[in-house]
Amino acid sequence: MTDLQELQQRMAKAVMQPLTAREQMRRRNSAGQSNATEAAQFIRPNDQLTSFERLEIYNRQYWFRLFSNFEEDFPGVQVVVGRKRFQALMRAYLEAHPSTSFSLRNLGSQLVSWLDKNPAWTEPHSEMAIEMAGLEWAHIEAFDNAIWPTLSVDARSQINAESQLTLQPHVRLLEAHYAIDDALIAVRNESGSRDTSSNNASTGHVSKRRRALREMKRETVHIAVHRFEDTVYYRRLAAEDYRLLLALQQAVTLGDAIDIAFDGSLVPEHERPAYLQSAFAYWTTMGWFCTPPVDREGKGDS
Amino acid sequence: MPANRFNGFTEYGVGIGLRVPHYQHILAKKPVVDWFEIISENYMVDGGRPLTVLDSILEQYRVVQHGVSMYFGSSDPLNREHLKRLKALVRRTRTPWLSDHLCWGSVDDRYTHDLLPMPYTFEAARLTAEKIRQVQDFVEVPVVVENVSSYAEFHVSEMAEWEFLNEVVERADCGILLDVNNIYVSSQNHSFDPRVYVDAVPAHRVAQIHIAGHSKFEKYILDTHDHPVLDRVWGLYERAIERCGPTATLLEWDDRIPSFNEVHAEALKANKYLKAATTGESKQGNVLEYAR
Amino acid sequence: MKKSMKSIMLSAAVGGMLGLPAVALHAATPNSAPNTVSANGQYLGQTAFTGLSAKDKHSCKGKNSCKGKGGCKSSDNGCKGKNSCKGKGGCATDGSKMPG
Repeated sequence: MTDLQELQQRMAKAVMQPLTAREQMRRRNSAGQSNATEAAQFIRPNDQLTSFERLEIYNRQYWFRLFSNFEEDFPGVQVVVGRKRFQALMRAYLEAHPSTSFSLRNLGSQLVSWLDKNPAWTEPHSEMAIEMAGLEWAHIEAFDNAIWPTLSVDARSQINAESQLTLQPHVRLLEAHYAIDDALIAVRNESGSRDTSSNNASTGHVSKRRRALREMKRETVHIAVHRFEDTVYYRRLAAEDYRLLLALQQAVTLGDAIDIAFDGSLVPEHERPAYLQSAFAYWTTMGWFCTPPVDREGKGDS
Repeated sequence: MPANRFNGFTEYGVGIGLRVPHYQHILAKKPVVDWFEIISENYMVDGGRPLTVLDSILEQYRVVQHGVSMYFGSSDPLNREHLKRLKALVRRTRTPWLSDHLCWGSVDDRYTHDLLPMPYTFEAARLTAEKIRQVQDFVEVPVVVENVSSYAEFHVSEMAEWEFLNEVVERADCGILLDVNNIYVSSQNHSFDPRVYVDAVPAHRVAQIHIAGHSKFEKYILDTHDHPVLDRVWGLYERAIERCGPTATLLEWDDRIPSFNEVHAEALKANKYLKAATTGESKQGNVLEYAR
Repeated sequence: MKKSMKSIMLSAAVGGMLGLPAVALHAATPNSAPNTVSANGQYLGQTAFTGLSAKDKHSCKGKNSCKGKGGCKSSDNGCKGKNSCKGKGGCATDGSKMPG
């Protein structure tokens, strides 16, 4: 190990350690050692600041930057669990999952699986919180994921029961047990209008919103989060649509996906062909079926 | 001097950072702006509005890429995925040069998303220069490195910051993005004369200059990019222009961002100094005001 | 499921992708209008096709900061320009002052 690497590992460990409740650097690190002593080992003090205080600037800057980005990405989760608990949840998540990407865009990529494994941070609203986190992450992906070339007419005319169809990377499918799409739109509307309202008024709005959200009745909803002309939309799907699209997304063949879609379906059998024709016509018009890059050179694109 | 091999032999004038709150104004009003600087990472995505807006901007404006997370000074090897996405963006923007910071910020694949200061050692200079060369070879445009604001210094440092900068750019044979606000911030935090720094920089390597505002706290200054440029920073800018000649200049405003017109007007104040350099006028009085 | 029905359904799906009229598919319902779904996802029948519909809820309203060519009047994530080189911190608890 080089001296540079050793120094950087040492400093990164100090910078990324959690702050105190008062947003200051802890007196002792996780190993119980004095942070003042540790800082003095590698950071030079000056006439204004001790080594500890200089290191603390970076320690705080690290967390403040992550906090503001995380809060910006998950306003819905914050309303579900409440501000105070969200702060604790956020710190625990970021401690467990420090950024491994060059872009802050990916900061919340592990939140859903982490919440799933750590329900204590969201109880008794864990299900709603996890589903909301899923919707908010899907939104991020739908916002700037790729759009690949749509399937050409030639490619479409050759589709059979064994074909595997690829959905656009920006189409994200969710099943939830609350109307989280409506709830998130309401949260976003309020956070938009809150910019121009007083703090007291906005606090009132948030509590009201939180109450309304927590009192939502349980209902199964299926949502496609997708992008159209650079705007993200939440589209409600029939259960059959959801099962079919999800199966296709999981590389199930078209024939099998259709079986999965209508397993237990209430859609009368004689209406299913028209149902399917309509659904596939819509998805095709929206450009949801595409050619992944790996196939581009071998197949003709439209 | 202004057009040199480190900025692709361009003369770009005064630009501002392209920021989201200004998108609508720029696309609708099409204001006359010499050039825009983008934060590369915000456009290193696969699709969507960031790239749509960027493409619209590229139809009408010159764009230069500025990165925040290449971390030339990190002991980790370069991230291949980052490099590939960066190169794709370089091809899209046709940026004549590419800048990032002389700093580190990741270790063992964990990213701090901060611009952490380097220990000013020969070992660090050698490694940093090697990584700059690797990036330059890969992206195939000139790479220039920016001096950062810092709040800490290391016991192990073997030289002053400006000596380290010189050591790195000579070894890498790369250009410099001279941030005079960062020089000012660091000079206040580390008690050195900022003019010594400006005067020590190899002028022929300066491809671009950054100006920005900062925030003064009780015991230190933070590079917050949320204020107009302070007079003392303008003084350093004047000195830099005297030494380097009229150089592509960019105002950074990243927080509490005012209207487009306000940001642009602040940036255009640089023209006073650029014109003076062109006509050979001197404003020595301002230049000498570096009192703490 | 009967093989013939499966085959008709498959033809219907492909026909939908090719924009064929439903009558060409021997389907029971001779139109190609989109399926209507209740709020809880129950299939309700079909309505006239109009591209994006009320089912596609604009996920973002409010802030103007992201208005761009795409026309989203939104607080869309990712539209914020998350990565930057500004310093963070220095909240008022440590006696912050504005530049003087």
